[in-house]
Amino acid sequence: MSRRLLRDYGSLLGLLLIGAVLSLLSDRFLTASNLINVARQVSINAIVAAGMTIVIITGGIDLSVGSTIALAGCAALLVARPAGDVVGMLAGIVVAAGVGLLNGALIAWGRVPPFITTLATMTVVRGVALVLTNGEPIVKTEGPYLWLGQAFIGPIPVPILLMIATLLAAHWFLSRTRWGTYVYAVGGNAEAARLAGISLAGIQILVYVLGGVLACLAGLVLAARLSSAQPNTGVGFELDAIAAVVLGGTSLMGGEGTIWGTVVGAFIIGVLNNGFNLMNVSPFYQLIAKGGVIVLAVLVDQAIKAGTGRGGPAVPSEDRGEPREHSG
Amino acid sequence: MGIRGWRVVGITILAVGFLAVTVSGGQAGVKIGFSVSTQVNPFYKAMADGVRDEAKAQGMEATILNAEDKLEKQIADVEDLIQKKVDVIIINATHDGAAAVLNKAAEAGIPVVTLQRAVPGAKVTSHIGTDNVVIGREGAEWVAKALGGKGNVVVMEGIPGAASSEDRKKGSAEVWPKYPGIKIVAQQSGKYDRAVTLGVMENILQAQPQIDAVFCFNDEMAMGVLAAVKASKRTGIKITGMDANKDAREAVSRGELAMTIALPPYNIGKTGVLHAKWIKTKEQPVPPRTVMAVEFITK
Repeated sequence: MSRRLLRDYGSLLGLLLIGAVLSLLSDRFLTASNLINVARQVSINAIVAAGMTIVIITGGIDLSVGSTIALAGCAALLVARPAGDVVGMLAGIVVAAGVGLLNGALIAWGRVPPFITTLATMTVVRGVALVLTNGEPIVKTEGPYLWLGQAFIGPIPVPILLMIATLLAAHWFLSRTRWGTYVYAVGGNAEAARLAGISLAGIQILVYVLGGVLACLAGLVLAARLSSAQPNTGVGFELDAIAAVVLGGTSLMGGEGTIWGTVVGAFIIGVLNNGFNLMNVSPFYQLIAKGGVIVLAVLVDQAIKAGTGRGGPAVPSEDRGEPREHSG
Repeated sequence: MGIRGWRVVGITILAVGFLAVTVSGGQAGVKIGFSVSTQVNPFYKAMADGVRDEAKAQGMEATILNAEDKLEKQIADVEDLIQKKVDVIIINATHDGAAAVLNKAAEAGIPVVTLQRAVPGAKVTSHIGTDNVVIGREGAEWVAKALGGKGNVVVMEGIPGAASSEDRKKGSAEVWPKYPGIKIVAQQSGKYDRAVTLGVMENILQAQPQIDAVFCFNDEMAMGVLAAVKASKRTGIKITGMDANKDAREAVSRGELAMTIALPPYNIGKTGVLHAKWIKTKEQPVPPRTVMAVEFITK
């Protein structure tokens, strides 16, 4: 039982350990205002990583989300200027869903491996964002869209609430819907899923569209926080999202993984960044420490899983459907 | 002849003279090739515009090739220019790795002019650009003076290890010890990115109760710092940038940023063409190294 606990809560333990060390090293870490600050910073990565988790569970990967963040934000603000914020936001969502559709179609029907497909669309989408904006930031300092990034409900910033809503919805999708079951099934054994009558193409297209739309939401929050959208932004965000997913114990082989784990993973990255800045660690050492912690966390996770008999191939049926007491 | 008559003669002489210069420039037929690192960044776009416009003004034939930030493409582009037998190759290098192909050009008897990015190990006749060490030094001096030599300063570096960021860091680090009243309370990297800097600055604001100035190595980061400071409702923080991008200039004129530094990419391009011409016509001596002045924009 304790092993099972360790298995399920291993990454959370890691997060708490990092938090404990940081609160010893900096008296500014464990304050309400800093914790809210960290959560608000994590929100963007967590929203992207929720989509990435679903994609990775199908055995795929989406490298294009960083570019999609930039394109969706720019498209939204470009359209919002003449047509109003609501139409602009919808335009951003349509564009991002379009990118997801393209990814999904190339993967499902074109049989191009996800890594190659999204590596290609990553540069194409970045290019489109640069062409659309002529390489210049799109500034919009007024409008209701700013609510997404700058407003509070009570003491809680809106981006945090959007993150919580996104994570709950993604968790519900994976654990309580038929589609979620299919997502695990496709990642666990695509051939078996196909024989069971699940539309492989349908699921693949669905997950990449979801990934694109969530990247768009992150892009809109980011634009609202900065009162502007940059065609150059979001470079490397896909790697932060993938790191969060992996830190959360989701297998890159597909077939298993949880939103809960990804949340913890995103917070590990966010808390590390926060701690480095609070303690004014040299940027050179930050790169070493961040990579080191990620490798260490995954090694520990692997060791725990091996110890509890889960180090082997993915078992698609295990994580789905069953309600988890710690969900959300 | 009245005044009017003399004026006609004067204008005629000028016009003929101008025409002669233009035609002789054309006859001299200085053919230049310009390999530019990228065209998605406004800085390098302005540089290429400067090359194009000055070549046109001088009646020179200019072939402009965009390396799209890829060293392999730049090497192939320069090889093409060597094959084309241009008279002078002007290059804004993507990488030090361009040295070998530039030496190939020199062996083929084609002089090389480098713009903005010096290429160590290459035989170069003339280098023109701004000096990031100088920019870092002068920018830091500006901040120290703006604070009256006293206050808590945050330094926002660019991409760790990037030559521009490290040089600006080096230049600014020479300045701080001269002002014992200036305390560097945080020196972090915003990776030249507005979104990244937003988070970094928010964290620094959590840690530092008193900040008087934030010295950023580019404008994108200055705008990210501005967003973080605005959201925190803190006031009295002088934020400075570099590059004089459009929205940063606007923020300066609104009084939200204290200063940004304008680099002259357009003039770097124009000067490159002039030097290329002089190398061939020998009408003026060409200095091996030209440091272009920068401009402080404060309103």
